[in-house]
Amino acid sequence: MSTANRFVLAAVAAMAGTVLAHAQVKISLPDDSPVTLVTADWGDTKTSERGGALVVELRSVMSLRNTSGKRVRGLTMLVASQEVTPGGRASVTRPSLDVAPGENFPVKIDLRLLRPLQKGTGPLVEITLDGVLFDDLSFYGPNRFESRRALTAWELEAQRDRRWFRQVLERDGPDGLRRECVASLARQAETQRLDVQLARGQRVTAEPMRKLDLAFLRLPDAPVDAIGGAALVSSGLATVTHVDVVNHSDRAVRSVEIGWMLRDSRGRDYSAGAMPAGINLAPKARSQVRQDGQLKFTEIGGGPVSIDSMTAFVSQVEFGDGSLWVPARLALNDAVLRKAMSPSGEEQRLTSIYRKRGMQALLEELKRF
Amino acid sequence: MNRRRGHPSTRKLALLAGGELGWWLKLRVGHHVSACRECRAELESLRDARREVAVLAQEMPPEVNWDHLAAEMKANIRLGIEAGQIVAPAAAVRARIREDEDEFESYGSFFKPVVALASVAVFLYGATWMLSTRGKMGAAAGDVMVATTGEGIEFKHGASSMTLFHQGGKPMAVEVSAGARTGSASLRAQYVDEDTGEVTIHHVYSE
Repeated sequence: MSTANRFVLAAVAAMAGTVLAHAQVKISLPDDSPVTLVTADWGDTKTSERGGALVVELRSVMSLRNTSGKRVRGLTMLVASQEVTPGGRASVTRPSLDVAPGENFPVKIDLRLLRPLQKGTGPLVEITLDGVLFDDLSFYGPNRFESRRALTAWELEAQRDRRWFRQVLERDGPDGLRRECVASLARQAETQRLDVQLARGQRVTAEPMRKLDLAFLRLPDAPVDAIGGAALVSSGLATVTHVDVVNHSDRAVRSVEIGWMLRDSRGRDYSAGAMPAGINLAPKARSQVRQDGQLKFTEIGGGPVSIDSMTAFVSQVEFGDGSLWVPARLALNDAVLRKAMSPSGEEQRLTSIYRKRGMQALLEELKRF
Repeated sequence: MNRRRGHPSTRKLALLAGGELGWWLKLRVGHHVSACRECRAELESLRDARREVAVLAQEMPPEVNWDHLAAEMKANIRLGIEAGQIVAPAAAVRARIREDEDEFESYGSFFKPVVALASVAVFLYGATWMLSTRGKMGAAAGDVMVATTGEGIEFKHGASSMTLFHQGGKPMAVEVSAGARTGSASLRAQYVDEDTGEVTIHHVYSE
């Protein structure tokens, strides 16, 4: 990668005399990047020693400028540390943006690195660009971590939800929009959240694992459906052995995302996230999605979830030509699907504007783009 | 509400339900709750109540800033407790502390020496471990793991880790993936900043 926009910043802050080394941060943007770095504030970055390990807390706000001729809708920055976590990467994505050419926007990176002492001397953290999505859904970037698919899917969901809120406003006026916002906020509050952990490879567990046949939900216009599958489960643990999928469409499919819903022994439903999977699925063909590793589900601040049943559904499809299918908004009118699917980032953003700043601010926001 | 001697108070159970109990009390009360059906039921009903309150809070009109109100109420409660401790006669304060300690009196007298001995053992073990691993932690290979934690989402490999901190609260959605063929694992979390409305998505991957 070229280095016209390269900065090497030494960010050091003392923690009661335990400063050990420079926490070097390198930001690299390509020569022809549609965004440039304006400023980077590393004021609260700290390094400290804890036992035999070096702890680096990197707290930064970067200001980036859109130097392209198009409006930016989303961006993904990659964060890597070969020194600390070889093979490990992180990314920070800002979807739901509307940045005009020449405008600046912030990207916040708050992370902690823990590494053994006396290892390596190079920059601790390297920040690079993985992709930028524009308002015409064109994309720029190396796309090393599937940013194109993810950013496009979020933008399609954002467009869908903005359109839905505008339709509600046109049909039912501000009072109808208010009711929609309150209902959405109530759904968000009702959403049962879990802590989840994924360990690669099989683990030995104290409890015997039992086989659980998966249940399935079908979204009305989904081109791909999950039709069979099983998991091995014990208290709070699940290993999905396989999910059978069928392509109803006349188009080849290159990846699907399978959403999960868990029900515990007390009948409470949890949205347990989603699992993206690359798959080569010809038109009308069937195949299997497999997942390696063991999932551990715990209640937030509580114990393991006693898994009674697991329900799967296809929540996203990427076709061979790179185009995407996301569920239609009407699908969310179904009470079960509403429980299973988390609200989009855009729906959360819009309802957050209503909750914090009131109806007038939301009406103005919906007029913007 | 008064509860039987030997059981944690409703106040402690409520703090446990809200994840606001200190680590030591959390361990003690959690241990008791795991073996006591009555307390477990009480804890579950408190958790349910918290969830219902959260739903009701969302239905308040936007003019009412609930988060701000809640923060103020919490601060006032703390302030009230602290002020009460300052002005109350010392004996009354001591009596209250004693009352709290008595909750586990049935096994507290047994636990104290055991805990003291265990603490010494843990300290000695920890010191030995730190000396033996100092400077060579990277040599210990461990499982690659991605996880949500109280602080954020984390990639962990052996003694090294990378944590992306939560952006203004817990994530609304998480996505987890482990490739059967590639051996990769990833975890993604989505946040909306309550103040700015900015959406941020964090992702940790292992290759």
